[in-house]
Amino acid sequence: MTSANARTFVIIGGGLAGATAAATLRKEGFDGRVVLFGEDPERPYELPPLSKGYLRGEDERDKVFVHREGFYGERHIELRVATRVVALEPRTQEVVTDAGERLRYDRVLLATGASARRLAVPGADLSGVHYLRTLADADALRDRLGRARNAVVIGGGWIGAEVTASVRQLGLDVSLVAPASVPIERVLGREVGRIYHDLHAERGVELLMGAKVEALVGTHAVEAVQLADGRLVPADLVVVGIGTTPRTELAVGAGVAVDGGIVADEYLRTNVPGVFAAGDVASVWHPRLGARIRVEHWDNAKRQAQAAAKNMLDREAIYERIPYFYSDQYDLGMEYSGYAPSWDGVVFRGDPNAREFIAFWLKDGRVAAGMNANVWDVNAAVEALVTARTPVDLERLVDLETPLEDLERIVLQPA
Amino acid sequence: MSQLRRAKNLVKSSFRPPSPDRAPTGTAANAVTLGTASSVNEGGMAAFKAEDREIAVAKVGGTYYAFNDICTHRRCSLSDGELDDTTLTCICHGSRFDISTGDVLRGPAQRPLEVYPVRVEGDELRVDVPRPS
Repeated sequence: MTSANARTFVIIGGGLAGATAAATLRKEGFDGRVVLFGEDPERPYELPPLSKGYLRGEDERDKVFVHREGFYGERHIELRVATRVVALEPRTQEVVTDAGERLRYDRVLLATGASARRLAVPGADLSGVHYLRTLADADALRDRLGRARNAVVIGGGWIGAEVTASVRQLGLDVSLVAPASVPIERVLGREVGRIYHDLHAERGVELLMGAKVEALVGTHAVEAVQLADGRLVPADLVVVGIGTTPRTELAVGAGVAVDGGIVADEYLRTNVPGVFAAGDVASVWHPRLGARIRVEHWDNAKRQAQAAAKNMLDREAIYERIPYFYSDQYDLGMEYSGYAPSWDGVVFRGDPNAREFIAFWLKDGRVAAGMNANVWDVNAAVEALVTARTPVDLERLVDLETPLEDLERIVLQPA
Repeated sequence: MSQLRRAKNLVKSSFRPPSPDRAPTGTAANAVTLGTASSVNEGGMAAFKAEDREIAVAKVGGTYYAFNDICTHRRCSLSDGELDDTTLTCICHGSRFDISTGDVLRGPAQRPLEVYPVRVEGDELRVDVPRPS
């Protein structure tokens, strides 16, 4: 299908963003070469199941993949798994693989993702210490879960909280260790984080908050987690979820601007002509929010990659989707829309104690973010409130009796 | 659908208990016209309103498939999703359905999708929708 003078688009990164970009290029009618490089030996897969259904053994392995096996070949997408791109050379418009192969590109997308931050304490390399970033990580953890009794999860972010819930649901004793006062405090704050704290406590999780890990103790396999205050928490399994680092080495080596991620404009273009970035690795200017943000969520990887692919085809697709993510822990499901690096206050519509509510994070009288928990079908409304960025009538915002027409007016009429 | 109208529709149903199982309760059905067959492109989907339902129609390999447009997981619009053959992936949380049978191929959705017999009469898309009980 490719002619001799066909253009070659290279995608570096075989995760959700890379796979989505490749599929989008074809969907948009691009008939040149599409080469998709992935370091992982598996074809592109999605990460959400790895801390949820797949980890608990509820989802079969073949459910985690972005596309079925035949998808790439049918669309003439050259999927090159287990292949690392070691250099990007914009001057000659070439990429170089770890096998020494050089490939000339016309446009290239960096979708290299992020890697799990490693725990830097004595004993961190003991057997029984796990991370969760790749399918191989999930398989190794699943294997270990079958033999473990006492798990300690280090890190109180989304991954830590979801892994804690999944491991607890499998029947293990679980302790969650984190420096914050409640789980997910950095994103949700204390009021909403407290709800997750109580949820885990009710399920029998031991929450060791405000705690710092000093060392992992054991002779060959891990036996305990030593905290800075001297406490020793027994553990035959440790899962570390202390954040990620964007994989920017390739970009740095190529002279692509990096600042907390690969810097890109609202068209997902980097400072180097012909080089685009999307997904977990990209720090992208958001015109609606007036900030450059790096978003590490499934929804962003997918939609940003779609936009990047269109821009590789000069379609001028501005990416201005309001950040969105979801989490399921035990029987509490939630969706969050918005961007609230800081806020003045949090208000609830509905009953947080009954765990059916919408929480709103307010900044300068406006809704910066909203989260619906066990309340569904409202995400578009929450997103509309965030997008409006006009002052809201607080009383009506939290009044369940306020009919929807009034909520609409809240959006439309600045106070 | 404009974002605002969508918000309006969606907020209306907030704080209702989750919808009951959507399987048909009886055999009685209404034949309804959704719109024109030519409005659905090959490999694409379109959403229509009929009988108080939002119904999506997809065209795959020349065959039309009709199904409830509302994801059984968190009520997202399925016609916003991605279609690969008869496998539909929801844009919100990635649930997968086979639109020819309604079967769940991948969670988080648990409940199958309601599917409807569909036929083309002239350029009209006609579906049989179970009568509300």
